[in-house]
Amino acid sequence: MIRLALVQPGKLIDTYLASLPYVDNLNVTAVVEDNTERAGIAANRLGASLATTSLEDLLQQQQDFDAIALHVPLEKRLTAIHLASAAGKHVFVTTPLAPTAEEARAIYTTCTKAAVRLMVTSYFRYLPSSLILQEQLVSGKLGKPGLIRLHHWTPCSQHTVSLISQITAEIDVINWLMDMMPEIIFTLGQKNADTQPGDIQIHLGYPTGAMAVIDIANTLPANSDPYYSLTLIGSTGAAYADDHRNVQLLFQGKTATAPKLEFTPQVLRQQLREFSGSILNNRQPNSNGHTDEQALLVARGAADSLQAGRPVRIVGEQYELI
Amino acid sequence: MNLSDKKKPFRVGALSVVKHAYVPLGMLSHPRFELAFVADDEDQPDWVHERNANFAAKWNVPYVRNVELAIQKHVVDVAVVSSAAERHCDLSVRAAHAGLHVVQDKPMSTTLSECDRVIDAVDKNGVKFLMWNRNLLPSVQQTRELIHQGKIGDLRAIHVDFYFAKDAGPPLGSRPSHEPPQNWLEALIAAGKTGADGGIGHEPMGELEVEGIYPLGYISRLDHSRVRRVFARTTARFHQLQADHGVDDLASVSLEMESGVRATLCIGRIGNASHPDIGEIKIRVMGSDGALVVHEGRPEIGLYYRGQTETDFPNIRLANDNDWLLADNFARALDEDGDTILNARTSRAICATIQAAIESGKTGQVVEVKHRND
Repeated sequence: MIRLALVQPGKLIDTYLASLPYVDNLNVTAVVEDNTERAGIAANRLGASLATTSLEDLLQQQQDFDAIALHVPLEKRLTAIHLASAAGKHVFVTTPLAPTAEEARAIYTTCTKAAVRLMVTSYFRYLPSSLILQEQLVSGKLGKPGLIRLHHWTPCSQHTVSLISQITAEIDVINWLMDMMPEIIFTLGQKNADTQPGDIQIHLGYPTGAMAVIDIANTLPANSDPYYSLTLIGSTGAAYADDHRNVQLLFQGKTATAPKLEFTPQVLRQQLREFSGSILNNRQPNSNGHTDEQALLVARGAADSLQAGRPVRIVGEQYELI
Repeated sequence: MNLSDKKKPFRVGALSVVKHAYVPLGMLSHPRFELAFVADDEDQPDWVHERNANFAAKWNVPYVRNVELAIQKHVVDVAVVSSAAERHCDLSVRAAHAGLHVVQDKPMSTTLSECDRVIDAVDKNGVKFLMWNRNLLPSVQQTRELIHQGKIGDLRAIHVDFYFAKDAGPPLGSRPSHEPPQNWLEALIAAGKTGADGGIGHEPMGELEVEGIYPLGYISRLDHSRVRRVFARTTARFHQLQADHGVDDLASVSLEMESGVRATLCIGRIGNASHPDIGEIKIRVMGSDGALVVHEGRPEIGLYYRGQTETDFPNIRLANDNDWLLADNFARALDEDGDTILNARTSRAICATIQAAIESGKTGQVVEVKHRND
């Protein structure tokens, strides 16, 4: 049984409660929140024996837990992972792992040397549709990917994270399905997407002739449902995973609306299964420091292309302007 | 609903009907257009004459093996051009110089100089020109209407998927190295049985050239500005024929419009197996105050039965008056001396965009679109 400590889960408590019953071999034994009351309420709801207000305190108490799930802001992740790995605790952390690919590689190396598993969650990789898609690719039914098209739209919000942080999850799922890095990237979009809501489109070309187009926008009206779609055209088949297919009709007067099924509990369920499986079976998780490093490399290339208004091409392990 | 007044019909000469005859049939679905003859040049090969004669016989009109003679003898108002693509512009120019209004099948041309000849001939002779298109499908009209109503605010981005789930001959990798490539024209002649012969002619054409005008027509219809520059990736991914002849059956294009709107197009001839219907065709539009996700094939009915084949589409489009409405649009342009929904200049702009995308796909560079400036 993997004993998991949650660090600053916040509103994700409800998602954990919905997901944990489906995950064998893992339960939550500790919660860290930034105030005592919140930590206590969360621990109580999860049946955890320990509630505390800092990761340092958690680690000092030498409680019996094997792994931590970090839901801290990006600027705190590297320090938290260093502490956890030094204490021999496996780590489950949201993408991106770090602000840069170089830092991601460094922390991944640290965790490897400490013999702890580092799983970097990537939301889109663990969607039910993505898992089926990957399964069909592996089976050969779809042939080799020729084109992948991804749309992800979210409601407007003020950002305090970099453009790179906003796009790594989408890039990660493309890297995973293509099973290779792009050789050329061209990005169009709003140049101040770091701090303002905007939209960008990232066009990727691969050495095999395959291609991908990613459209990310955070300009939907406030309180909108997000929208996600992924199309994969393979050499012998195709798959269409689109939220357009995930809606029903609701009639309440005026125009019908289209309520959408929420997949977040299913995603977390799959992520936790992968995490616990990697620990118990002594293997790397499917999404890890290396895969996140690759996503960050591509994200950096996309950002550079956007700023320059020109494509970038891979040279060695970096993308350079053409 | 727009209806032309009931006036005298326009007489139509069909200049070459070698592809599946959706354009002349579309025009003839409208009561204002009546077929007077089918004609083609004498020096065309037998298979062309055979197809022309068959169409003429079905419509009980004469088939004349001389275009200019047919026009002189039969006094028509409109020429409908549905020849092999490489002859489109030449026939349209000749028809315009003979004083005929022109309805032309797509693509306009693979050569911008030919497109320019059409524009010059249409301008000089004061005739109307309509490029066949899908802009009056119910879903496209509804999308445009919602945008015009301000439902999503100002337009920011348009994304179109246009995948035709049609085979184009044997799959990639199927030709033994000792065998020569299949002849393009012969392959497309054979494809006439399934209607997959849009690229028929001596000159090989990729999917961008054959079908690109449809999705780029949607973008033009929604944004009304021209494309400023493009970045594209192109490849032959599915079919041996396309690979052997160096043309694409899969492409993706990033577009910057003169209006500031951004767009993307993903297009391909992806094979029968890759969709149960004609293909996955979607339009996604992002505005300043909202967004749209549009299934181009709707409204539709689902239809399933024993023995249903791969090419019997299980979802059938409803309320699709695109062809009739295009013909009506053309009739209205003739009646009122107005413009058509997709005229020669806009069609030329679309061709220029396609040529730029092909160049970008080959070079890996961003390419400025070469537009006419008049």
